[in-house]
Amino acid sequence: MPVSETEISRRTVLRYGVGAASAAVLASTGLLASARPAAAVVTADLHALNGDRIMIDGLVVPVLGFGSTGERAEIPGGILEVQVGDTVELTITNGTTRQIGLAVPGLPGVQSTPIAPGTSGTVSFPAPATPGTFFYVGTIDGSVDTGRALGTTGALVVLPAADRRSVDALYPGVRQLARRQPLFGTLQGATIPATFVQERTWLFAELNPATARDLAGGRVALPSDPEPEYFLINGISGMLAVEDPATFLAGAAGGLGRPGDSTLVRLVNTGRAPRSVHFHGNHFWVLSHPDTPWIVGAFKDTVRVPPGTAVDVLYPMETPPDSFPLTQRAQKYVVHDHIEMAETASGGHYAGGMVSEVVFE
Amino acid sequence: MAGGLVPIDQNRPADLTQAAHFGHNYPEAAPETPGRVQPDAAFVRKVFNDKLEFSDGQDVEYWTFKDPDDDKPFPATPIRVRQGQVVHTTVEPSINVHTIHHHGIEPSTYNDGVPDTSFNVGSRYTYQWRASRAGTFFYHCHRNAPLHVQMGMFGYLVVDPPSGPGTLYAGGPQYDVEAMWATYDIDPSWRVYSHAAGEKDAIAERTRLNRFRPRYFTINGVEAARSLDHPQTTVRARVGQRILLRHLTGAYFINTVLFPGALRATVHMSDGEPLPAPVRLPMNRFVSTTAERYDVILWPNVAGTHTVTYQFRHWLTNALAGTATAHVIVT
Repeated sequence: MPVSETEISRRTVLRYGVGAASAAVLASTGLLASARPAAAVVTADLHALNGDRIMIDGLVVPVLGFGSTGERAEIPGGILEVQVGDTVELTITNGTTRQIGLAVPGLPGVQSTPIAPGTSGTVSFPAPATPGTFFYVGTIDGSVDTGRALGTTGALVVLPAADRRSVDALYPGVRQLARRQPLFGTLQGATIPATFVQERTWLFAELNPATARDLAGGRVALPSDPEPEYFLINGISGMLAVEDPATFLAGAAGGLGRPGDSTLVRLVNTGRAPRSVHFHGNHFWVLSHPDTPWIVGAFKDTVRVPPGTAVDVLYPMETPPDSFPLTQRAQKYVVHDHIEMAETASGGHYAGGMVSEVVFE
Repeated sequence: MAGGLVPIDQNRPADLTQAAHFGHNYPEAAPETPGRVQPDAAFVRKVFNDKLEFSDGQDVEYWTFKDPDDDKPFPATPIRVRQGQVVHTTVEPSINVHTIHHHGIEPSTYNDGVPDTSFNVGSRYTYQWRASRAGTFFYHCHRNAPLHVQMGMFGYLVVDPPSGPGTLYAGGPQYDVEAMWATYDIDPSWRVYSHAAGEKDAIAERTRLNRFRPRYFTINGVEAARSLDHPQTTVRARVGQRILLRHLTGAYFINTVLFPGALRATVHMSDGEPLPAPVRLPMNRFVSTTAERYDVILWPNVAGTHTVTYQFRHWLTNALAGTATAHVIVT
């Protein structure tokens, strides 16, 4: 099989053909391209829907997802972008046979009255006063865990009332903490750039088909300890996540110790296990961490993302510093969860799980 | 401009089943190293198998790398170089096909040792790279990584500053004694798998690399019951000396590392870079997941045997599954 040709053509099709619309959305980075001077009321529609999802090996698994329209469940739900201080008003239309509510782990103020099957309701809550990364989850018959296990999740991004690509606006004080060694002991390497060029949001989720069937069939309590069999980034895995334009990173390298198309990556973990996310090619700056403040501002190659939380990192896209001769050509590197079970699909197929790619163009 | 919902699952191809075999069409090769130069440091690593023995009478097979002159180490023979050196790591798999990924080292794709983006090494390949930063790294096989890393195919990779061992990084703290303690948990049931289990025929063969249920919990392959005075899990120092612990989580379960207060544990680096500031560990503990490294300086002010306790917590439930220990004997 002519591997490289197939890969290139598939990637090209996905990026410039089928994926053109989503690539365009990413290019404008959503609806909040520039900050508003004042807080506002942000409205959005979420349609809770039953559906199914074809896994990478062809297995069809039931899901319950939030569609942006009433047409189909989306896995994951859309990225909900708001600004600090906004009032968020979500209209949830329940197209399922279950009671659907909404929760945001880490924001105890988000409380919703469950919405009965076949009806609509509004969930209103104040956005936090400081920027941050969260996820929303549909409670199913009162259970957050059931929503997480069935894919009823999406990212919630709270943006600053200033340039959304400003590191200082998003993560006040972190640039002042940043520290790294001079490269080769002499050449001073750049620390965190003041602004980044692009952003990605990665929503990690685990899926066990037997559990999903049980839960979709009406069971609420999760079995005690079934290992997940699929490990998803943004609802897909393996080669699909590698080739997904909403997921993989691509850009130009800067130079030795100089950032290029630096990329903010929001690592959002909706699963039960922590993730140990490892980027090849570059170290990355830890911009936020939910339980270990002393690694914020560190330049790491692997970071733990506790379950139910988010870690934001900045991948500088410098020329890979240990290449010799120093590479000037296009390169590609994998990014993956290093807790190796999560790199599999179908209950054991490597590398069909949580893996994507960084392309230095 | 209002905020709102940005859908990301609307324009994907309808058929998501075309690409199940990411990584399984890569070639097996033994090419010349591109741009090969005379190195400043060179290492050869061969692959061998042996067994680890436990106090319950069981033994467990492992595979790892070794220097040709080394006996049968576990984990793999360390690689140690100095910052700025051009390094050659030559892998001669001899048993099946493997790769070496230098974790935390960032070379060209061709030298990164990831079969999915380059190739598996059949008979021999020399990885060429230059050590840009000092610190604690490790190397491991990246072919069929869930299985091959669990089988033990990893070892330390230490980059000293140009001044050599004794200093953590240029301008960084100094140390008198060094310990390299890697956590490693073992699921004996994975020993039935072949080198290729988890690749193409994983589904048909019912490979279960998502089901990790370890029975042994070790530091460097040594269980708690045998850890005291074992050279792999015990270091000796005098009161007032600084002991550098180069921590690596090689385990797949989650580690909580607990230090006695008398060791006055301070973390200086992680993953080969200094932290924003050295941290005297809150509660004398930290949490670490697979492949993370932490460089901790222990500075005991009391004589005695100080035991560091490593908890292994279930990756899904966080329940305590096992414990390993290592020791600092201070006189």
